[in-house]
Amino acid sequence: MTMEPTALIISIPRDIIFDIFSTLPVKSLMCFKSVSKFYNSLVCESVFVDIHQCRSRSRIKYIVRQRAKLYTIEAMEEGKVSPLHIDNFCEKLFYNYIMCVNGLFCCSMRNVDGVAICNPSTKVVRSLPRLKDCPKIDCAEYFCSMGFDPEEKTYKVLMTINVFAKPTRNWVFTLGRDEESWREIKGITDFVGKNAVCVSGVIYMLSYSKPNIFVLGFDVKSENFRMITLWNSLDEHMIGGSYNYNILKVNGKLAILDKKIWYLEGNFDLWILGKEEWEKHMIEIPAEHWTSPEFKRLTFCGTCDREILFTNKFASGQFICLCYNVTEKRWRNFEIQGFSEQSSINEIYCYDESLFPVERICNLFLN
Amino acid sequence: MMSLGKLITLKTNDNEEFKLDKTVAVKLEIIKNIVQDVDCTSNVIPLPNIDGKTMTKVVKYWKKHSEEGVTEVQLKNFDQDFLKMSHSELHDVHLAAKYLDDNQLKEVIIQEFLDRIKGKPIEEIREVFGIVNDYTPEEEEEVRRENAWAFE
Repeated sequence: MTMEPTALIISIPRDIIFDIFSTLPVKSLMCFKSVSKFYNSLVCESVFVDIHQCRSRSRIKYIVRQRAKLYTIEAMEEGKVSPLHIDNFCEKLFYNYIMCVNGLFCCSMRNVDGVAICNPSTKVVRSLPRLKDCPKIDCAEYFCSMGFDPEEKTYKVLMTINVFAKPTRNWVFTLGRDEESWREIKGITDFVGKNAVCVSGVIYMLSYSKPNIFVLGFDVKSENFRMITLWNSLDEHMIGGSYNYNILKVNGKLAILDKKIWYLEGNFDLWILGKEEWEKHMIEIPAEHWTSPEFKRLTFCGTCDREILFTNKFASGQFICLCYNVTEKRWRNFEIQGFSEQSSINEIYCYDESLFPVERICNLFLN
Repeated sequence: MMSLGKLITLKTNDNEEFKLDKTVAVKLEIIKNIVQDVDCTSNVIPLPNIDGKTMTKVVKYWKKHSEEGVTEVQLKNFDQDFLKMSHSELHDVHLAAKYLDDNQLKEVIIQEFLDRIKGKPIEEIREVFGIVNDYTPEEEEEVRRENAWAFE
């Protein structure tokens, strides 16, 4: 009996292949696009993209930023790890802000409205269009953040612009929508963003508007802003000002790391927003680092699920990454070797692989 | 509610009957549900989506995996032998496992598929899944070129 091609396809239902393919790493799926037209389009379909992302949670990936250069680290186990330099990942320009949300990276600059969206899993980078209706001003300060709305499964980029003595203006860009342009939206207060994190569909921005430091929430779905009440008022006049704080996500919750007193007392204060109240956790720095003459280089560099990551660079050029597990109150560390440069590590991003087709975002920035 | 006999009979769509110890059968969600929901006094459970040839394999797997005192090594060897079947037979067992809601068996089959396609050229992957290449050579070349990094 000769098998008709159609009979063959029917005999092996696509849903089984769907099950199998959704467990595969992105790299394999990019190969499998050339299997047939159906699989080429399947890999970009939102249902498949969502299921695949849920299933790739067991494969956490890391990207390390050292100045403008980015590196991947395959496994973040105990011991020594070697970074691998990534080319072509928004390195033509120096980005002040890099935010990782749900597998996508939003890279932006402080003094210009240029934003690049990168998907490191599919290795695609696209620039968002420039603002059309914003007058070009030399001294404007830009702050970009990205959020993911888990209900409608959409990514949005929020850009805020501050020009001396003028009200803050806010623009929103939705990724992958038909009508792709910046829309200006109403704000509730003037602010300058410092750093941001997205937790359960809300972008939280650690911001200041002299003399106050505060947290502003932006609901990605409704596009409404709201002030987040803190445990105490934070003072911009304090030495270090807003640099004393980092906003982060730990264990799926919003948290703020207070670095004000660590240098004097050997501990960080971590404030985690529970159901209603901020809960204080004290992070004690291990004695061997506290007593080391080089320990003052210890810097916060990111979070990964339950862990808060710090790095310490020693004069010998050795990098140690210290990870504090908030749930277990336990430290672990490993050494990162083989950087081409000796400058310190700025950030470590930890992310799940995503198939989100960044290439579908329009590319007007280059025009 | 079904009578508490020791044996349950599963009847496939080609009328083959499989007598199973109840302790083995009720481990499966679907059988448990049928046992609880359906008034099947005859102790025969129909499986309209599964044929006898496939069910023989599934039952063989269940029996081995519920054997008393069976060691890990024995199970590993058994699985290795068990999975020596054609691609389409493997698909049939996967469908049956899916229908019977047997997650363990489903995972074993998916893993076998993953092993079969691991590092294989695209042509072999098409063969494993019975996928027909509907690209023209030029189109295929284009898609490959766009994702060249993934083939390294």
